[in-house]
Amino acid sequence: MCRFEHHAPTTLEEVIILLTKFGAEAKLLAGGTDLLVFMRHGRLAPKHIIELSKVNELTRIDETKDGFIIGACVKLRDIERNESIRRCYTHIAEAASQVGSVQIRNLATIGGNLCTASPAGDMIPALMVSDAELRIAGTNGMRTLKMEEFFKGPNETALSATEVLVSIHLPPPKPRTGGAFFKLGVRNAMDISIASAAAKITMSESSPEVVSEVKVALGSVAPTVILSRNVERVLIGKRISDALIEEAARSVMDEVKPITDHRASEQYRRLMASVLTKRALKLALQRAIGK
Amino acid sequence: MSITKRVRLRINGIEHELDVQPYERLIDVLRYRLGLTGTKEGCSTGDCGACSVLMDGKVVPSCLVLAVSADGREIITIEGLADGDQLHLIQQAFIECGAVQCGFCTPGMILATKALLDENPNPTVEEIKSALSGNLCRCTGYVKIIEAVMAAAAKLKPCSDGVQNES
Repeated sequence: MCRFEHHAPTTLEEVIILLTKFGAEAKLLAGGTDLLVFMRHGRLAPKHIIELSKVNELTRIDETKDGFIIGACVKLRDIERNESIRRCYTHIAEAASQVGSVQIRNLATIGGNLCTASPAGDMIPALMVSDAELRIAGTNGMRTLKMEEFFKGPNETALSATEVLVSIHLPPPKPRTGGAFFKLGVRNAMDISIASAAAKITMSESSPEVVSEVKVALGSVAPTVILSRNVERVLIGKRISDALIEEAARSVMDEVKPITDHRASEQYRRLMASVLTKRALKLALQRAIGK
Repeated sequence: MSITKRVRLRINGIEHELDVQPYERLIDVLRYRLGLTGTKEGCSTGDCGACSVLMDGKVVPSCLVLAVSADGREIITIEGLADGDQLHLIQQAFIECGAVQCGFCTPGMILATKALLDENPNPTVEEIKSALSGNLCRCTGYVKIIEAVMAAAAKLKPCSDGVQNES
């Protein structure tokens, strides 16, 4: 492992001061399950590591009338097991439960998964379909970004070198709404996905079979996680049916830009994007109508 | 040269105060500073589970925890499970069920099992597979390991007179 200095600030202000002081020579340490692995592989060699575990406000989960506020350093195991998140945002708890292993999830954080910004990041699709907003602290104060604005490319976010992700905000759950997340891997655990899909669907209150809102986000099939515009076009305002779900699922195949690598071929990923979209839409719909 | 930091670690019930380098990992402290070589380094990247220890009751890969991050925590390694010469029920079950071949994965498997049973005393086979999915074994094919976990769970159940075995 490369040699580095370790810093353990206790406030966000201190974090930003340290980031400003050390700039590109510093990396933030949350759970360490990405950073320390990258350092082990020689992919990163920071001279300074700024550990976030002592900044208390980063580890809170708050449920308010305006929705959920999840601190960036909340562990994935805690999200997986949080009763309120499991009930109100089942697909987000599902996504958390499928990352790595229990050991990894006891260290890994939601903020870390977002800031590593892998195209395969398991938390990203579920948060993207949930209209999550990201609160970011920097030298100029706080700012808010939507999920779609946060990811610039593989392992590239909109964060500047002197900014830190503080919290993830979820709006309050809506009635007649359901979400689902599916991940396909070579293994059932401890795997980077071949393809993943999250869906969230809201059925109309006045016309129960009509889709009022829908979002599908796909992982591992493009340089970043992508939202499907085609699914929205096919489903919103329409009467739901198996045939329509099939059409929506097929429509994502035109939007994805998968690659061929040692896990899967481009063609297989394109097809799986569609299969997982269909499964996610069906389960989200079941949950929306309460079956 | 890096500045060392003083950390306090409670390991298997014993307090240790150490000056560590920032880049020292918990596994390095356990194996090389304290001679607790029951914790194994299989992959160094958190994938194989051989380095699993309990940190504040939660099973974690000690190869991905910096020693400085473990300051103030309670750590249980495989050496901390037996009570003198008396093996822990989980250890006994692994031996009796033939779940140990080369033994390299065994400490991690047993600690992951302890974490599972502490939280879910009556797991299904699927729950066991999920809980141990972070632990790789190259010898056994996992069948005997799963049997051992089921046997340990059965032993840890309360007896008919309501008295529970020690866990």
